[in-house]
Amino acid sequence: MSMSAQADLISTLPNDLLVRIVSCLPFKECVRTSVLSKRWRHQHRDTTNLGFKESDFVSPYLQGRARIDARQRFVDFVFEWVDRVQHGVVEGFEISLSNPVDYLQEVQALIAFAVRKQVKNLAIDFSSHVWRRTGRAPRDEVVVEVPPGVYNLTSLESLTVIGCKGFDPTRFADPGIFKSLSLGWMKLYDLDELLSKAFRLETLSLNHCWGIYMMDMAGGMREVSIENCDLPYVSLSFDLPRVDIFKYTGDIFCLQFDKMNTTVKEIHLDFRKLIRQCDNPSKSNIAEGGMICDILNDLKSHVTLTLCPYLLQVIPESIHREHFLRPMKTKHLVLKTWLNPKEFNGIMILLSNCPDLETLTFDILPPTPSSKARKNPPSFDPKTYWMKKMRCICLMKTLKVVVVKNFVRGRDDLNVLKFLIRSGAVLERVELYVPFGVDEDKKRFVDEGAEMLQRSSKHVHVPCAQYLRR
Amino acid sequence: MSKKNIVLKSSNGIIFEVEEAVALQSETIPYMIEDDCANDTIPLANVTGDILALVIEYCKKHVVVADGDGGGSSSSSQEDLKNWDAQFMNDLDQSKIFNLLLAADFLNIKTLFDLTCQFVADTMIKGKSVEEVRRTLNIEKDYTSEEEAKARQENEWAFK
Repeated sequence: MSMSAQADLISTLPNDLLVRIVSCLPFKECVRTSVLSKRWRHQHRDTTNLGFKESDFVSPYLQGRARIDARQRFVDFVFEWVDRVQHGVVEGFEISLSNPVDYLQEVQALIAFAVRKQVKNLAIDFSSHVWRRTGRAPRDEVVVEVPPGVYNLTSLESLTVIGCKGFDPTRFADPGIFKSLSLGWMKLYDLDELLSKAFRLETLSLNHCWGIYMMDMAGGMREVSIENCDLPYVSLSFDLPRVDIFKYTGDIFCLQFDKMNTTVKEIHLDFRKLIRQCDNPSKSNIAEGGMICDILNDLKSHVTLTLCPYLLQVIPESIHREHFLRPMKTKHLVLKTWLNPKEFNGIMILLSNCPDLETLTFDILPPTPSSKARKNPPSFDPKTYWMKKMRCICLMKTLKVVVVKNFVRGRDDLNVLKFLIRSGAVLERVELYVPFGVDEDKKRFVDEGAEMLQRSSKHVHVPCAQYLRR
Repeated sequence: MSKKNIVLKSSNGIIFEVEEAVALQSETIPYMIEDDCANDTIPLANVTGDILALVIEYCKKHVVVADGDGGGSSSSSQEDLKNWDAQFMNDLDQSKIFNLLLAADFLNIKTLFDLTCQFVADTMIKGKSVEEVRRTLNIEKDYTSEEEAKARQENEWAFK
């Protein structure tokens, strides 16, 4: 590292090694290497990992004729590429195309190509951004059937199937081959049969699936993510002794944890879907608050915990002693929050129950109509709330870093940070990140806030805000 | 069978004696043993001593786990091994990394080769702008502005 002008070593490697390196990149980034230099001009064309996504080619804002043309250009591009590599090695293949009604033949030809190439990683995704916005998949847009070739493909290690018609988890010739499975926007009867045979599975992701008649989920998975799924039974219990990352997004219901890893690295819980109902406090909030606290008490042994505003709002609603939140082993707490006064009590309760907390991250969410609603003003004055003294172990002994992502200096943000700086006896840094692309004026306003915070303390370092990377 | 040792000699004449199981993670070495059975020392004309030392360090670490793999209980050792791999790569400078890649290719050690390729892609290219990649890898831009514009235009979608 002492040489002043370092040599370009990578470009001296033989072509086949460069191809192996660019094959390790996501497809889009692989293609971008073509502009590095002349030596790199065509290396990307031999990548063994193909990822064709409509969203890379067609902006969601395009309408009418322009949209039809852009989609056709995308399909043409895919076929040009695939025709060129008919005799090459392909290890990974991904096709994402929304509303594929007009391209059924093409889609089947592409899947057949991937099957013929005996790919290791296959992703077929026919969902659309409209589905994600509305939460609904219209029946006439779910048209692609998974061909038998995919069910019988024994070279697979990782498979993603999203928005296909008549998907049948029991048809796989050998579920024991899967290391990673990602299923979305489909009815999943008999998922448990597939899981019981997928003994090598490390990653399982279920997104917007319904009809999952399961009472318990068991397996050696390291990563489990269940997002916005419809689980018809009243409870689901987990037996995941090796899990490192556990994500659950959706409706609240009885999640039970029988056997979990002794320490889970990351837990994400997001019940934001329920926020609207939460605006009308009721008995159900008391029950849900208790349920949430029970879930957290079951999952207390973890490193990073990520929570949504709904949790912050209902945790204080738990009024029965046996359902109070108890101390957790959290080292890093990530709060997705609007820093709305309705969330303040929840934040306080969490701080007092995280005696080992080292890092606290506020990930500020963009405002929504329900976050702005002040129908039920809190019983306290939000301006003075953070002036009070608060003794909790993490503030006295362990909390070293506070991070604020998407900081735009909202109404109460500085008060919260001042409180943490004032009470954090071992706090070292407060890091502020403004959203990618905010204008200069807003950035200056944020930096003035950072300076104010810096002036309020000598022992805590508050650098200028940085831009959050996309 | 008792433990057998294999002697490897680097291009600059440095001798390494390793257990057979360690050396046999290379798919090239068995052929060399067959070809060279009269001689005990296997000369590796393409690999210098410092790189061969790294290769052997990697193979030693990975042979232990292959031995102790009793089935379901090896999850934590797999995890440890992953962390060890990450640390092993992190400690190397670029010159070592690319020479290691060449050595892993020549010796045909698949896991080391894949590890090195993925490390280069993830830490030197992924998530970086074209300019940042050039700076990281010391790639000289030998395109004229027009040529670069043309290359960008050809795959305009990838730069949005």
